[in-house]
Amino acid sequence: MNALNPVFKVGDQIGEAIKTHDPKVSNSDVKERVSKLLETVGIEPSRANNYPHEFSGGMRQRALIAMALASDPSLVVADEPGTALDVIVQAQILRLMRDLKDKLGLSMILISHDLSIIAETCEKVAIMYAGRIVEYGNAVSIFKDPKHPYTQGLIKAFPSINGPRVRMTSIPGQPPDLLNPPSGCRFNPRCPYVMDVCKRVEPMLEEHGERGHTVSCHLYH
Amino acid sequence: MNSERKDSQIESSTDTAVGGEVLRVENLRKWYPLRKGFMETLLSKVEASVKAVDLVSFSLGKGEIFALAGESGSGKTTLGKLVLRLVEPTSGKIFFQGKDITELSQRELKPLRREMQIIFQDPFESLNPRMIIKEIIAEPLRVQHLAKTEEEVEERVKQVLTEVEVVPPEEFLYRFPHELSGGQRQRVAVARAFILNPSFVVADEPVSMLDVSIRAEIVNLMVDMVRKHSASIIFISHDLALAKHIADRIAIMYLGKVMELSTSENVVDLPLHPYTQALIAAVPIPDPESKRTKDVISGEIPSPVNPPSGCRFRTRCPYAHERCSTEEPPLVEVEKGHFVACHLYT
Repeated sequence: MNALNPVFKVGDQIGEAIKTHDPKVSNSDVKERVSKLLETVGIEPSRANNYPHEFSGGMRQRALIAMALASDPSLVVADEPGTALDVIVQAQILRLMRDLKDKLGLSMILISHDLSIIAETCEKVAIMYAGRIVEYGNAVSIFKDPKHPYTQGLIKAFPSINGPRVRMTSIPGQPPDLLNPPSGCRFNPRCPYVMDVCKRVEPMLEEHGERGHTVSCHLYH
Repeated sequence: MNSERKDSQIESSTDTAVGGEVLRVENLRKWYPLRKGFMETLLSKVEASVKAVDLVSFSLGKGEIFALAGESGSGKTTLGKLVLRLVEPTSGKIFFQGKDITELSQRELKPLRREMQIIFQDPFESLNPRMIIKEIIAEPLRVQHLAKTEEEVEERVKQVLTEVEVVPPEEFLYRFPHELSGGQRQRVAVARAFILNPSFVVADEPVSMLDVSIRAEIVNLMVDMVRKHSASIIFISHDLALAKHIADRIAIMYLGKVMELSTSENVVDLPLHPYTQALIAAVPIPDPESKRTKDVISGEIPSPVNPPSGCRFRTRCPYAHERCSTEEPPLVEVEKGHFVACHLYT
């Protein structure tokens, strides 16, 4: 939402990304590439002369995607790309990103707090807690067979729109204080299965169950 | 004016409220006039305004949890503020416990304010950073002169803090909001809303600013408080999955209008309005194996200054036909207790 500079035209901001990486490009070439990029993300190329405030939220997010694609990257990191958007627009943006990923052969790291978006978009998932990866594996395996108590709690905390009405569950306690993280396993103060060893020894990320599914929890070692 | 009369006729049948009704609104409307520049005033043509809420009618039963859902800009927050008279309506009527409160002065409203409270979205901004927790929660008591002695104030603050599980209360009374976590702060906001034992609370996106791992416990706390105090609550949320799990009924809003209104199972599992269907199809599902099959509708919510003629959703509706652009569909009951504003059903 606020990632665009309000006092420059959207097209110029995308052009800047092209010129930074390739200073020799002529102005007319930049213009042409900007038009192409806008078309790729589903914006009418004539809108390149608009300022960000003339764009809707979804169009601004599309412009940012165009900017990210300007230098023809092989990896795009998307930090909460749908969080500031309404569900319908969010679904449009996620679909666009998936399509572009397939079309351009991109790799993508999607950062999100919303497990449902991750479930829908990603092939592999790393669950982080207090600065550490606590579980890592392919998406189906993580969602169908979560090993770490934190992952289990997080998945339960997400109400699904399908299925019957139930009382919601949450993980007890507070998110950790990173100035003074708990000793041993960082999740131990909130963990329902906490043992003595959890407070002393930090568990390592090790493979458990399906190949490539790793988890750092003393329950499995 | 034809549509206005139709809407009020329907109103009588919208009373599905069980066990008496706490609140009823009829044809409520809030238009914010747009400020014009000097030249525009001279050349003035038509007065432009943002039609935030336009002819909305519904009622709220005793002990009911009623969700208002919709995209941003659909008017749900404005509607929540209107029913509390925190925003003055342009036209329409608000009945609270059978009494018309639309025209009451602020002085006349004051005793009624005990009965109606609000919980805001952001617990980082809704609590005064320079007040201690005790004073934040005690303020409604003091404003309403409901506690005679200082001991009684402290006693009641402690009691409500225990109810919202900020324990032990003695430890929190003299702290400032910045010393509390987000979840604890929202609990304090809930305590402040419930200390006067209200019969009606508006909660405006109360968990959207909180960490996902603690959202559920705050939601559960609010549901428990509502049940315990036999209060009613209007729960404003853009999260339909959440609304389905906690609300008794859901109203779906679009550009200031209620498009669909029914029990939460009806609205989410058997949606009738094309907009509700599109909204639900767009909600991501936390299951990697259930890939989205339905198409996502295109476009974004139009400007509320110049909403489309006829049905406001027609510009994005896959079933739009000619009648939709000329005639505004009224909210009608198509099945028992299931109201829809769409020409497909009339």
